[in-house]
Amino acid sequence: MLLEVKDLRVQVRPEDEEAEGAVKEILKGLSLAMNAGEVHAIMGPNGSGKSTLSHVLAGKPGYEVTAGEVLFDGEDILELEPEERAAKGLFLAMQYPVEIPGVAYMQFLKVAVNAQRELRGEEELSTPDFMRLVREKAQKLGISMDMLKRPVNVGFSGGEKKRMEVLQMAVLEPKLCVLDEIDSGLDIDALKVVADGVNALRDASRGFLVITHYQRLLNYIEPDFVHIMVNGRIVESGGKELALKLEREGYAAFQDAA
Amino acid sequence: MSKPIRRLAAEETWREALPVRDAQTAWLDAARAEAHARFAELGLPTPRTENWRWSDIHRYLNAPYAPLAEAPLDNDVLQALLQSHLLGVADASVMVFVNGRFSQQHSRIMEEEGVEILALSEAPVAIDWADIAADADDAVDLLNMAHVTDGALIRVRAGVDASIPLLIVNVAAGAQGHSVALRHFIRVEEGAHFTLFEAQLGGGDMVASQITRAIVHDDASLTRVQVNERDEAAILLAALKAEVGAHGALHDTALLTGGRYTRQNTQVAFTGDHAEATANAAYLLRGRQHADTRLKVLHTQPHCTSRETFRCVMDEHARGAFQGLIHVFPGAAKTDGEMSAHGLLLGEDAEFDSKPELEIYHDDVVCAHGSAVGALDEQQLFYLRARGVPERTARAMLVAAFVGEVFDAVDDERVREALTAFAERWLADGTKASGEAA
Amino acid sequence: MADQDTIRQVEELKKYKYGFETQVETEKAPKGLNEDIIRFISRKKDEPEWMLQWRLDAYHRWLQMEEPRWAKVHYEPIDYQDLHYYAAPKKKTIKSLDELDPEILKTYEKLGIPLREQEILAGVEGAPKVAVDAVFDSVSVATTFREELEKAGVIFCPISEAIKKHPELVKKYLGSVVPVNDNFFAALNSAVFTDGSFVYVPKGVRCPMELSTYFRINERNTGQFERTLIIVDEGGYVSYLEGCTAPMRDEHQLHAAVVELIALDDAEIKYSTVQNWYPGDEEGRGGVYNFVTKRADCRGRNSKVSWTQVETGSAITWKYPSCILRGDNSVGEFYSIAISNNAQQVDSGTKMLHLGKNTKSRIISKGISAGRSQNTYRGLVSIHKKATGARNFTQCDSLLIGEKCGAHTVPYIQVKTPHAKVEHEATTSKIAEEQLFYCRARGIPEEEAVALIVNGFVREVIQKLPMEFMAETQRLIGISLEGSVG
Ligand SMILES: Nc1ncnc2c1ncn2[C@@H]1O[C@H](COP(=O)(O)OP(=O)(O)OP(=O)(O)O)[C@@H](O)[C@H]1O
Ligand SMILES: [Mg+2]
Repeated sequence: MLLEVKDLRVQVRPEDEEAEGAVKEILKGLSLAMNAGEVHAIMGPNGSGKSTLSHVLAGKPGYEVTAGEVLFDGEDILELEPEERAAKGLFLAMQYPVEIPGVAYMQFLKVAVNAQRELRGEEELSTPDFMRLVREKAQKLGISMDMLKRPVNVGFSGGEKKRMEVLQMAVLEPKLCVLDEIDSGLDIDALKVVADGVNALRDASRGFLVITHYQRLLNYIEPDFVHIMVNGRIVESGGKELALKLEREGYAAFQDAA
Repeated sequence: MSKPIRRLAAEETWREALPVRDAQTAWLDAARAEAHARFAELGLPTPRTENWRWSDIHRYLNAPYAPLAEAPLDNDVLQALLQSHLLGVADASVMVFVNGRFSQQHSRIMEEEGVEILALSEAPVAIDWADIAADADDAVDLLNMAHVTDGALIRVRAGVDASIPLLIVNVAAGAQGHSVALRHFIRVEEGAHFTLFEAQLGGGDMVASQITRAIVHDDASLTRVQVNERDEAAILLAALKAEVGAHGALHDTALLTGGRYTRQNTQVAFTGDHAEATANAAYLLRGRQHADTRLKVLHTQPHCTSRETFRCVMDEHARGAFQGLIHVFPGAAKTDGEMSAHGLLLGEDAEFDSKPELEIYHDDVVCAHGSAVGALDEQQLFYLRARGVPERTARAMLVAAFVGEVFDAVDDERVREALTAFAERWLADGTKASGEAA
Repeated sequence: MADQDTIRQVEELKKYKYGFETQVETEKAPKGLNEDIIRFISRKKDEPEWMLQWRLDAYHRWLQMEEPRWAKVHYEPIDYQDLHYYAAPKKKTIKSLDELDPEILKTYEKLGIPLREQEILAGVEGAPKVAVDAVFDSVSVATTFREELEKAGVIFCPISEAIKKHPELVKKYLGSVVPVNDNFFAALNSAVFTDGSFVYVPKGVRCPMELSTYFRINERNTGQFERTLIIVDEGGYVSYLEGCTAPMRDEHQLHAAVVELIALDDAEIKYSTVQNWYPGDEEGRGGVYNFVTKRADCRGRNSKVSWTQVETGSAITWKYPSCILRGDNSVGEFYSIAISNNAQQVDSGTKMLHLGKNTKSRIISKGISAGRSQNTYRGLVSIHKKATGARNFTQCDSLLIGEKCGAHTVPYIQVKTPHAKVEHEATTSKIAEEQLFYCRARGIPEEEAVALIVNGFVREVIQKLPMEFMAETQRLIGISLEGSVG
C-alpha cells in the first residue's frame, strides 16, 4: 500500500489565539487507501478540507492531528519533518504556490534535488547533469528556460505557477504526487500540457492523488478511483463514473450523507 | 569640549516663578510644587536632546514668558476669534478657556446621560477618576503641571456612545509676553465612545502649554481632532498622552497651520490587545513657521494595529519636522504598524526633517515606514494645466490633495469639510496675503 | 566534564571556521597608551617627524574626547590601557612571497577566503588578477602584483611605506576626509594606527585589477588599528576589496579602523567589504569590537563612490560608511547586508551628505537578526540648500528570525531645498512561514531553507559584489545563521 490514511482528525487553531477553545476541526475522521500505480481523484465543495488534507500529508505546520494515522509506504509519517517526507518521495503541488523573492528558480530546484538526494544517501547531481535534466523536462512542458532564471513564482501568472509545480514534480520524480487543483487557472492548451506531463510520470510504482473541482481534468488524467469529500470526510468512493454523476447532479445528494 | 549650555530666559523665569497658587484649586498646590521642584532639576531640553533635535527651542524660548496671572481682556478680539475658527462648525458642546481660565460665559455644555464634563477650576477637591499627574521625566509636562491654572475633565461612563462631541477652545487674547498652561483629562470607560475637538486660537507673542491625557478603556474609543490656528507670533507646546485598552481605539488628527512654533508630543501606549491607534497630521506652514512633532507608539501588547500618516507642506521659509517611533516590545506578537511622513517643499527656503523610526523586539510583526520629500510633481502640474486649470489653482489643488489623505479619515462630516476647504484655500490665501503685504 | 568542553569547542570550531590561531613569533609593544608608545610605534615604522607630530596631536585630542554612547550597542567599558597597540610578526620587510612566513601562508590556506588568494599568492595561471595587501595584526606582510600595478602607474602599498615614499600625497590627503578629531575612535586610530593600505590611481587610469586588503587579528590583547587611504585622480577607477577574520578568543578584541576615500573629477571607487571577524560564542563571550570610520569624499564633479558591505562577524559592529557628495553630479551608493546571530550587536548604516548640485545617492540595506542579537540600521540623508537637483532613494528591509532578536531602523532625513527628491522606505517582518514550508515540502532542510530565503532577501546587494565575493558571501550567510532555527 502506497498511502493509507486512517480515521484522520485534524484541527486548526485560528490566528486569534485569544479566542480560547475556538479550535476548528476540519478533517473529521477521514480514511483513504491507495496502491502504487493508481490515480485517485478527490472532489468536494469549497471548504470541505481538501487542501487541508494535502497540507497535513506534506507536514505543513499549523495543523493539529488529534487522531488517526498516515502511513506512507507502510511507515507512519506524521512525526516527520516536511523535508523528510519529501525525501521519501511525497510531493505536493500546491493550490497556491508560494513566491520567494530573490531566489532563482534554478537555484531553488537544484538545492531541492540535492537536498533530497543527500537525505536519501545518494550522490549529488552535478551541475551539467542537473541542467540537462531540467532542460529536458522543461521542454516537454513548454516552459522556457528564461522562466527558470526568475525568482521562484514571483510575478508568475496563475497558470505559469501551476506549470512550474508540474515541472518540479517531473524533476523530483516523487513516489506519491498530491496535486491540489493543478488545473485551476490553466488555459485549455496548458491543461493538456500539464495533464500530459502528469501522464508521462504515471507508472506502476507511482501514485497520484488529484484534487480537482472539474471533471474535465479527469478526462485527461483518468482516475482509477474517485472520492467525494464533504465536510472533512470521504462520503462516497467509486470509479470514474462518479465524477460524471457529480458533474450532472452537484453535491446536494452527498451533502446529506455528511 | 562641549560648551556649557546657556540657560534660556524663559527657563530662568520658569524656574524662578513660583508654582501657581490658586485659591480655587488649592488641592493641586502640592502637585504643582512637586512638579516645579522636579522641573528645576531637569531643566528644559537642550539642542543635544535627541527628542528635540529639530526643535531649536533656544530660538523660541529666549524671552521671559512669565506665567500669566491676570490679563486685560479684549472682548472684541475674543469674539472675533471665537466666531471664525475652523472647528467652530462642529455641532458640539463648547468649553472655552480664555488666557488659561475657564470662561463660563463663552461656554455651552449640553447635558448628556453618562457624560461628565467639568472644568478643573470647578473641582473643589481632587476628582478621584481624573489622574492628571505629570510624567516625572518630561520637563514640558512638569512645567505645565507647575503652572497649570485650569483644564477640562471629562468622563464618559461605561457603555455610553456619546452623541454630543466636546469642543475645547484654548484661546489667548492679550496675553503677550506670558505663558499659560492648561491640562485636560479624558476618561472613556469600557465600551464607551467619545469625540473631542481642540482648537488653539489667538496668541500674540506668548507660550501656550497644553497637556491632554486620555485613558481609553477596553472596547472604548476616542476620536480627537486638534487644530492649531494661533497667530504667527504664538508658541504652542502641546502633548497628547493616551492609553488604549483591549479592543479599544484612538483616532487622532491634527492640523498644524498656526503659530510661530508648534511642538506636538504624542504618545500612545496600548494597555490591552487588539487595540488600534491612528495618529495623523497635516502641516500647512508658511512664513517662518516651524512645527515639530514627536510621536511614539508603544506596542506593548499583542495584536495591536497602528497607522501614522503625516503630510507636511512648507512654503516660504517654513520648517517642518517629524520624529516618529513605532516601538514593538517583546511579546507584542502580530503587531501591525505603518508610519508614513511625507514632506512637500514649496518655498526656496523651506525645510523638512524626518526621522521615522522602528524599534522592534519581537519577530512576529509586520511594520513599515516610508518618508518622501520633494516639491510638487511637475508632471501632475502639467497635466492639470494641459486640461486648462490655471497654474495657481493647479498648485492649490495638488497641495490640498497632498494633505487630503489626513482629513479623509475624519468622521465628522462638517469638520472634515471645513478642514478640506481650508486646505484648498490655504495656498491661494497665502499668496493673497503676501501680495497685499507687498 | 572535560569531554563536554571538548565537544563544545568542536561545535564552536564548526561555527567559526576561521577561529584558529597562527603560531608566529611576534614582537609586541607593552600594554597601554601614552606618548611613549606612540613614539615607539612611529620609530618602529621609521616615520618622519611630521607623522609623529600628527599622531601626537591626535592622541592629545583623543584624551579630550568621550566614547560615543548613542549607538544601540551595549558593552563593558573598554580599558584602553590594557591593550597592546603594536604587534608585528618578527620577520618583516619581505621582498618576495617566498620570504613570507610559511605559517602565515598556511593561515591563508586555512582561510580559503576571500579571494582565492592562495592561487593568487601562488600566481596560479588563470586565477583572477587581484593584488593583495595582507595586514596581519598590525603589519602589512605582502603586496602582490606590485610591478604590474606600477606599470599602470597605480601605487598600492602599505601605508607605512607610502608615508616614507609618497609624503606629499599622504600629507595632502590623510585626515582630509576623516579629520583627526572626527570621533573618539577615529582619533584613537590616528594616534596609533600601525598599518593599512595606500592606493593612488593617477589621472585617467583604470586600475587593471581588483585591489584587495586582507585583515586578520591574531595576537591576544591587541587592538588592530589599520588606516586605509585611497585617492583616485581625475577619470580614474579602482575596485577595492577588503576581507577580515580573527581567531576565536574568550576576551574581546578591539578593531578601530579608519578608511578615507577621495574621488576627484570623473573618478570612481568601488569599495567592497566582507567582514567576518570572530563574533564571539553563543553566550557572547569573546568576539571583536569593530568600531570603524569609513568615509568617502566625492570631491570632483561626476565622481562616484560605491560602498558594498557584508557584515556577518564581530561581537559589536559600529560602522557607517559615508559619502560626502561635494562635486556636482557626484554619486554615492551604499549596499549593505548585516547579519547578526546569537549575542551579536550591529549598529550600522550610512550618511549621504548632498552638497553639490544634481548629486545622487542610493541606499539598499538588508538586515537579518537571529538569536538574541540586535541589529540597527542608522542612516542620514542630508540635502543641503545648494544641492539642487539632488536625489536619494533608500530601501531598508529587516528580517527577524526567532522571537528574542531585535531589528531597528533609525533613519534621519533632512532636506533644505525644494529642488530635491528623497524617498525612503523600510519594512520589518519575520521570515515567512509559507516560504519556509514550500522549500521544506520540496525536501530542503529547514536551516538550508532559511539560508536560501535569506539569500533571496539580500540578493540585490549580493549582485553588487565583485565575483570573488559572491559565492563566499552566500556560504557565509548560511554559516552565520546556523542554529538560528529549530
Ligand atoms: N488556519 C486556518 N484557520 C481557520 N480556518 C481554516 C484554516 N485553514 C483552513 N481553514 C478552514 O478549513 C476549511 C477547509 O479548508 P480547505 O482549504 O482545506 O478547503 P478546500 O476543500 O481545499 O477548499 P477549496 O475547494 O476552496 O480549495 C475552510 O472552511 C477553511 O476556511
Ligand atoms: Mg483547496
